[in-house]
Amino acid sequence: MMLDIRDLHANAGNKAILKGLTLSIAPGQVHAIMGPNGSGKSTLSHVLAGKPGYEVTGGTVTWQGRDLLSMPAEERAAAGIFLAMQYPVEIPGVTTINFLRAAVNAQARLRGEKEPDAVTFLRRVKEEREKLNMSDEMVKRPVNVGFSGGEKKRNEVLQMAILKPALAILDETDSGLDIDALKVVAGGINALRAPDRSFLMITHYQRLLDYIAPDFVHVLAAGRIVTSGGPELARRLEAEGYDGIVKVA
Amino acid sequence: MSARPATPSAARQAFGNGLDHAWSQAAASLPGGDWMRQIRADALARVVRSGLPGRRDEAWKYADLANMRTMALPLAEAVRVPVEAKAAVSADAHHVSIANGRVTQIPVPDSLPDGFEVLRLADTLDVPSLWLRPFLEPSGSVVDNLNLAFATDGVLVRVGRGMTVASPLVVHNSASLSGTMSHDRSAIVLEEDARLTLIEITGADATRDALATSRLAINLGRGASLVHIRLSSGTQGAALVQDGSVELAAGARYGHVALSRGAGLLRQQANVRLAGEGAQCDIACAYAAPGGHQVDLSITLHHAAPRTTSRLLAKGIAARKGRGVVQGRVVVDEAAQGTDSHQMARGLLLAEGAEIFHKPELEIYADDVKCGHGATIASLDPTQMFYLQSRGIPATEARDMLLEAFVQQVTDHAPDALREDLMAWATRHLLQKEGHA
Ligand SMILES: Nc1ncnc2c1ncn2[C@@H]1O[C@H](COP(=O)(O)OP(=O)(O)O)[C@@H](O)[C@H]1O
Ligand SMILES: [Mg+2]
Repeated sequence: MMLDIRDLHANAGNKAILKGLTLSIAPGQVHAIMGPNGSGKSTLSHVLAGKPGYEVTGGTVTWQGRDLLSMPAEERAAAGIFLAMQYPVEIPGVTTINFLRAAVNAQARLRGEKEPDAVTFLRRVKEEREKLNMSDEMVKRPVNVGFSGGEKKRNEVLQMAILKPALAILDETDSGLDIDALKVVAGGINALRAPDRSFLMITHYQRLLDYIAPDFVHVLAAGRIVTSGGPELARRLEAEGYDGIVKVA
Repeated sequence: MSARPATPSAARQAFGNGLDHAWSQAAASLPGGDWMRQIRADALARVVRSGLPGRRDEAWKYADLANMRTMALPLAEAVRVPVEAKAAVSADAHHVSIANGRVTQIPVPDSLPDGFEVLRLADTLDVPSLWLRPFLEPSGSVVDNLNLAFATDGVLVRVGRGMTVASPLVVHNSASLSGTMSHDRSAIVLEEDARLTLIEITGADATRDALATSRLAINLGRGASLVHIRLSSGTQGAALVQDGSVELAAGARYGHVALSRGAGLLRQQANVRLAGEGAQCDIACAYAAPGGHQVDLSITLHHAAPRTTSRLLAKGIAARKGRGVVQGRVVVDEAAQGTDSHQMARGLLLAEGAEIFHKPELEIYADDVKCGHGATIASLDPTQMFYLQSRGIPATEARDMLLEAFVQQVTDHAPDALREDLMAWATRHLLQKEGHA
C-alpha cells in the first residue's frame, strides 16, 4: 500500500470532524470520495497535506512506510503528496512561474536531488500550460491574483503536472468549472495517470467521474466512510441522492 | 552620560547647558565666516529655547527624541569611515562620501559634465552667498535648527537648465558615533527641465547615545525631474534623523524610493511642497524595524498649486519589540483645485510585541480634489504560508518569499535599471533573518 489511513480521528477548532476514517490506496489506483457538504472531505485533504489548525486525536496515516502525520507539510510534498485545493490561495507579488520554480527546486533539495536547469524547467512549464490552455501571461502574473474560479483550478492542475506527485489529492477540482473547462482539466488529470501514481478525488458530484473513471468510490458522511463500491456507486448517488445511501449504510 | 534629570525643567536646563558646552567646544572648528557664525548662534538659541522634540509635539508623537538620551552630545570627530562601497549600486556613477558629517570624497570638477556642479558646503560658507541664504535660515523645526547650528559639511549640487545627468550621483553617508553627534547639510537644485538620479546610502552606527541629523533641501525648477533613492540603516544605539524638504515648480516631478532598516530611532521626515501647477510626486518607502529598533516616517505633502499629484506608499515590517510609525499629512490649499492625492500604509507584524502605527491626516481647503488614503496592519497570512509549504517550500523560505513580495511592491516604483540592486539591498538589510528573531 502507498497510503494507509487507519481509524483517523481529527478535530477542527475543538470540534470532532473525522471520526474513525479508514482508507487504503495502492499505486496506480484512482479513488473517489463523495459526500454531502460539511461531511469532512476538505478536512481529510487538509489533514493529509499537513495544514495547521487541525488536531489529530486518534488513528494513523502511513505513507510509503513512513508516519505521514509527523512530517511537516513541505516534506510531505517532497515525498510526493500534492493537494489541489478547493480554494486556491492568492499570493500578491509572487508570480506563478517563480512560485513553481521555487517549489521544484525546494522539492529537489529536500529529496537530495539536483535542481533542474532553467531551460528544462521553462520548457516543461510551457508544455504543460499549453495542454491546459493557459497563456504565458497567466503564469507571469502573481499566483491566482485576479484569476476566475476556473483559472485557479487550472493553475492547481498545472502545478500538479509540473510537480508530478505520487499521490494527488484533488479537492473539488471540478466545482466552478463549465463543461469545456471541466474537459480540459479532466484531460490534464487523465494524462497524469500512471501505474506509480495514485489519485484521491474529492467531489460532490458524479460529473467529474464521467471523465475520470475511478477504481473505487467511497461515501463520506459525518466523518467516516459509510459505504464503498465501484463506479456504479457514484451513479447510484447521482440518481438517489445522498440521503438514501447514507441512511441505508 | 549621567542619569537623566528628574523634572522637565531640570531636563531642559541640563539640555541647554550640554548644548552650550558642545557649542563652545565645536564652534571654532565649524566652517564659515562671521556671518555664518551669527546664523549658527541664532539657530542654537532657538534649539535651547524649545528643547528637543518629544511626545508632547504632535509631529513627534510616536518617536521621542528627547527621551533618547541623545541630548547635547559632543560633536563627533572627523574620521575616514570605510564606506559600504559601490556594491549597493552597480551603475556607473559620480560618488560623494560623507563620514561623520564631513565630505571625504567628491568628484573633481573636471570629471563632471558641463552644467553639473557638486561642491562641498564647508568650502562655500566663508562669504555670504545669495543663493545659499534661503537654505541657511533658522526655521520652526528643532532638528533643522540643531543641524544648522552644528552642520560640519555637506554637498551642494546644481544641475543646469535642460541638462540630463546620465549617471546617478551616489552619496555614501556613514557615521560612527557612540556618545557623539554629527550633522550634515546638503542642497540639490535642478534648474528648469533638468534631470538627475540621486542615490543616498546612509549608515549610522553606534553602540550607545548618538544622534546624527542629515538635512537635505531639494529644489526642482519647472519641468525638472529628480529620482531620489535612499537606502538607510542604523544600529540600536543610534538616533538618525533625515530631514528633507522638496519644493516643486510647475510640471516638476519628484520620484522617491526609500528602503530603511532600523536604528534605535530612524526618523525620516519630509516636507514636500507642490508649488507649481501640474507638479507630481511619487514616494514609496519600505522599512524594517527589528527588535529594539524604531522607524518613523513623517511626511507632509503640501498641494499649493492646481492639478498637482501626490502618491505615498509606505510598507513596513516590524519584529518583536520593533516599532514602525507612518504619519502621512496631506494639505491641500484653496488654490490647489484638481489635486489628486493618494496615500497607502501597509504594516506587517512578524511577532507579538511588534508595533506599527499609522496616522493619516488630511487638511483640505479646496473643493475639487481627489484625496484617498488607506491603511492595513496584518501578520503573515497563514493560508499563504501553507499554500507555499504544501508545494514543498520550507517555512523559512516561504516566509522570505512573502516578505520579498511585500517589499518588491515598493522597489517597483524605482526605475527599471535600479530595481534589481534595490531588491538585493532589501533582501540583505530589510529581510535579514537575525533581524526578525
Ligand atoms: N476551523 C474550523 N473550526 C470549526 N469547524 C470547522 C473548521 N473547519 C471546518 N469546520 C467544520 O467541519 C465540518 C467539515 O468541513 P469540511 O471538511 O470543509 O467539509 P466538506 O469539505 O466535506 O464540505 C463542517 O461542519 C465545518 O463547518
Ligand atoms: Mg470541502
